[in-house]
Amino acid sequence: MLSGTEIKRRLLDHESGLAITPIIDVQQIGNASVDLRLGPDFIVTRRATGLAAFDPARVEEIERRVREYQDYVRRPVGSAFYLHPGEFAVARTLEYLTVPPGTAAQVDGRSSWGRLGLVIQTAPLIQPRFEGTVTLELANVGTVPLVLYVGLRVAQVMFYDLLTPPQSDSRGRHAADRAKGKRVMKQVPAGQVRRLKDRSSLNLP
Amino acid sequence: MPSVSPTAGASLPGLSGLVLRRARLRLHRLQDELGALRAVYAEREDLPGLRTLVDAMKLLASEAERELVYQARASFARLQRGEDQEIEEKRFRGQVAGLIRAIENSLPSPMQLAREPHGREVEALIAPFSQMISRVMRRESVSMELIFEPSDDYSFQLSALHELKPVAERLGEGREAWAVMDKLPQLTVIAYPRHMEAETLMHAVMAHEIAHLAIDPICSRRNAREVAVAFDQAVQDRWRELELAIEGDQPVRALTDENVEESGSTVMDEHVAGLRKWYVELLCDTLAVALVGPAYPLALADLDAASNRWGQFREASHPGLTWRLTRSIDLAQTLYLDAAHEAGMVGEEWDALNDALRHMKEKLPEESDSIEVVEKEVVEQALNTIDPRRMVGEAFYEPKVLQSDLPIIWRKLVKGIPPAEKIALRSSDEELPAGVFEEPAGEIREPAGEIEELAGVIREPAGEIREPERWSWPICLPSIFNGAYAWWHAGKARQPEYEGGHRRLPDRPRALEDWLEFSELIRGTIELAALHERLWSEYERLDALNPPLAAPQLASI
Repeated sequence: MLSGTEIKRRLLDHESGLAITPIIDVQQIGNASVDLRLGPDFIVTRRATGLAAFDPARVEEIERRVREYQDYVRRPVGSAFYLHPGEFAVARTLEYLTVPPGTAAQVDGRSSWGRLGLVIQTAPLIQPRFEGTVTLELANVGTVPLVLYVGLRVAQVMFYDLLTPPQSDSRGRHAADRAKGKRVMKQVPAGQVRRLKDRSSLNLP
Repeated sequence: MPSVSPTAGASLPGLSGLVLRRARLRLHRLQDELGALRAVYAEREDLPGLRTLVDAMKLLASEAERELVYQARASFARLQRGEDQEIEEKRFRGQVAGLIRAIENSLPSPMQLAREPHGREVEALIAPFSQMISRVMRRESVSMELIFEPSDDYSFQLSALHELKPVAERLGEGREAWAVMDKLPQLTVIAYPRHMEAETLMHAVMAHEIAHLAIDPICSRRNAREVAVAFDQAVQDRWRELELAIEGDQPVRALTDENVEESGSTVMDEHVAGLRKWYVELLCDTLAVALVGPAYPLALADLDAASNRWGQFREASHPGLTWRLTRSIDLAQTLYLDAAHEAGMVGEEWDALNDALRHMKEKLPEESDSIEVVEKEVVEQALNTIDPRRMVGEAFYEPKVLQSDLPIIWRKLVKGIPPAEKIALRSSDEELPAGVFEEPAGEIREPAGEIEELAGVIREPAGEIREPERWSWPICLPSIFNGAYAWWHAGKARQPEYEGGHRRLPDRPRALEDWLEFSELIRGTIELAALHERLWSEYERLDALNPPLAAPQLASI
């Protein structure tokens, strides 16, 4: 696991391949992690009132269900996003991460938010060669509504050096992604990419 | 005001009652739609311009209905007092028709803006272009809001609210609508071709529309006057030659206001008026280069190269592309690339930008516009008297900023990192913003001292060590455009076909995919830089909201 000093050194070194952008303040870098901020994009899932479920056995229906029950919401930096008890929202970090081949990372919530009932991340591992913003699965498992502000430090990322080089070499799938430049705007969760491209769902009315 | 029921209109006799009911129904429908639009935009805090526009229209619709009711009551009272029914009805119908006509003439265009807002692909550009416009207009950004309008081509409109003015005027001074309209922010609309929405790099062309604002009399009377005087002077200086070229051996007339007024529209007047339009467009090209640098001619070529507008007839609204590009490329070369060369800036990135401009200029056809040589010289003379740097004021894209940013952007792109920020703590100071640091409150201060790589500390001249205030700075929009164009023209964003892959369909050539994917990366980069800027301005408030600071007792649970 990398210490804060080592993370800082690598962030300052162009050749390391590690990047977190934007970092506003050096205070974001802790002893062994870097705080990540809540980004401006959210996907909220409405409660189903009819007989409906995301059933992986019925793949063809998932896309339609996603369209029916998920809404895209965008908030500017500093504005509030209300997460009510029992509600779930998909968000992403404000920061864009570039992870070099010999390093992996893990995203976790900050304990202070956890104490309030906010679960930040359910799929925390970030593979080597990752490029993009990190998806956050926000859930309020507490009993009172939480007000989140875009730009708040809600998560943290830790980095680990791999003991041996990763299996996929520069010709592997990740390299192809990297060569294509996995795009900033594409780093939203599966299903949301489609919605982000769907103007009617984004640009109201 | 007569003390009768607000529903007195229902009691109006004859046609007036029907007219009133139909007019109110029409206004109700309008208010319903505006109410729905308002609800839709209630959560779009990131689109303040459209919210303001919808609010203004809703206010006007409400005020118009109040006015109708008031007029109905007044008419009813006059009839009660025994005034002639025919005359009174005619007067009332005229008032209603005038108000409804004003609404129907004024609202469709702004309503359409609200009904069909811009797409997601241009959203990232709103913040940086708003900032650029504010600087051009020398106003605080809070008083100017930008709306992007999907359309067929690039164009600008200074204020969408101007279209609503006739309704406010119809309602009369002293009404609430009048006062509120006066306090609303300036709403600038920039239209863009909707089919090119995803081609982010090409939107550097919007700098041309912003340049129009810089010389508009409403934004800067001084600029507008200077622009007009320069042209008039050039025409005056070459009047005799112009006349000979255009009218042949016809009698010579001096250019005086009296003559123009006496003669009305002469051939000369028409030609000079047409020439003035071209002069303004060429001037806006010049100012666009001063706003975004070499990216402007490259974007203009991308936009128009396939349009066969290389040479134009004098009736066209814009001069030919050959003339426009030649001037823009020359200016970009002189202002930015020659300056960089003199400053000793060398490297792959500079070669790429130089080559892009040089190749573009070499390929320009020799087609010329169908105007006389002396006309072209008049325009050139007028253009050469204008100082673009002074005209765009604070929005001027300093060559030093390009010199500072281009190598950083290049290095980041090599590493696959979106070039959105420059880190203040790097071992060299080449990534520091040129000249000044901007504080969150908008104050400008000089760099505090020598900055070294000391694992996150800044050593001040006095020898004290303190934590730095900032880790990094956002890279500005013009630099991102220029870096991106250099990268694209160097062929770095192009990907080879993968061996063994399926053959691509002819309508999806590799170049198009690469262009769109690269545009996507740049779009995200611009958004990151804008978020960075905004985050810094909100920094103190947001940090205070973090639970460890806001609720220290949580730590002891």
